[in-house]
Amino acid sequence: MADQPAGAAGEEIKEQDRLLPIANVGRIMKQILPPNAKISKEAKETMQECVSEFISFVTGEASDKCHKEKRKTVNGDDVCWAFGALGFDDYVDPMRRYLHKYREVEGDRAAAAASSRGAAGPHDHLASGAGPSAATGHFMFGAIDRTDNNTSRPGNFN
Amino acid sequence: MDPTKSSTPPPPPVMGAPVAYPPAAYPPAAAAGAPAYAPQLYVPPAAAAAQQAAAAQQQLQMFWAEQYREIEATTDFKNHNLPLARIKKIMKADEDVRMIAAEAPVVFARACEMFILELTHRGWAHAEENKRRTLQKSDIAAAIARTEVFDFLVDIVPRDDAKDADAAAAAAAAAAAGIPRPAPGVPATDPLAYYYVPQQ
Repeated sequence: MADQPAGAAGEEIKEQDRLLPIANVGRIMKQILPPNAKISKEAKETMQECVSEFISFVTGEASDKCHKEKRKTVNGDDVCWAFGALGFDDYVDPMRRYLHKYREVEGDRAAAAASSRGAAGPHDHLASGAGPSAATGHFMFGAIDRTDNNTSRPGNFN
Repeated sequence: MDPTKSSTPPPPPVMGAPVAYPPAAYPPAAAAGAPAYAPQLYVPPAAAAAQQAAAAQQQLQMFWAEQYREIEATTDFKNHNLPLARIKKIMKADEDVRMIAAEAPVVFARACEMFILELTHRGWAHAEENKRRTLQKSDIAAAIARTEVFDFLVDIVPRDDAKDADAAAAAAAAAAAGIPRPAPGVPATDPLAYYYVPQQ
């Protein structure tokens, strides 16, 4: 592995890693503004910082809950719960709905992949809207370990 | 004056943009855009500010309704407006976080989008109050200062930015209406703040 760049260059790389890309952030900001509105570069940069802080803030709360319940994996339900716990009440219902729809879609895809491999897919219990533990169990193969180096594996996302 | 918005249908979505721009937010209604202190058409500051606050509340409710509608209509869960790998990195920056289910960054991708939209929307209200068409850092600072759920962000925007933003607005309003301004050195208070319905 090559040496890590020292000094400012190394910090620059860490800086990029902890922020979402300014182009993406700026594009989303534009969506809600009138057509002739402009956004200062400083405003976009500030928004980048705010979003990263939002992710960290919510993740911390979700992670604490997992620790208390002796669970190792932060899942979508934990994130949705954390929105409510931290006062983002308006986020809870839309995001729970989003998560539910995502699980339906991914459940169908995973079941299709599993049956094409000849294994019995857990299609039925997932489609029936089983409780969080069942859904979590199903997606455990997609969980990302801290040591994961983004190697592609079937069922994992990149 | 009627604070309710016009009933024109929403403009067709801009190509590529999943969010339809809320019709009520632009152009601003007469109550929000008209100079409230014009001699011919004097609206007491309290009434004007209350109208503005009520209009802003209504816009936010429409915003959330629109968000829910869009989520209902979502079918594509593979393509996101924010990179999942980067979101995962930010989550993993927390040492207490061990394993992350694949669905968690997906939830965050959509939630961060909502967050950006909401904070931008609130910031834009501040820009419009100051008759600007460019969203500035101070607008975001003002939105953070006005919204309790964004308290966790106060360290990102220096207190001065939020103070300056509201102080500038207060000074302009006070000068126009002849209300005595706070003495220099005294923490600036927006005289309109007492009339504002707290933003939710």
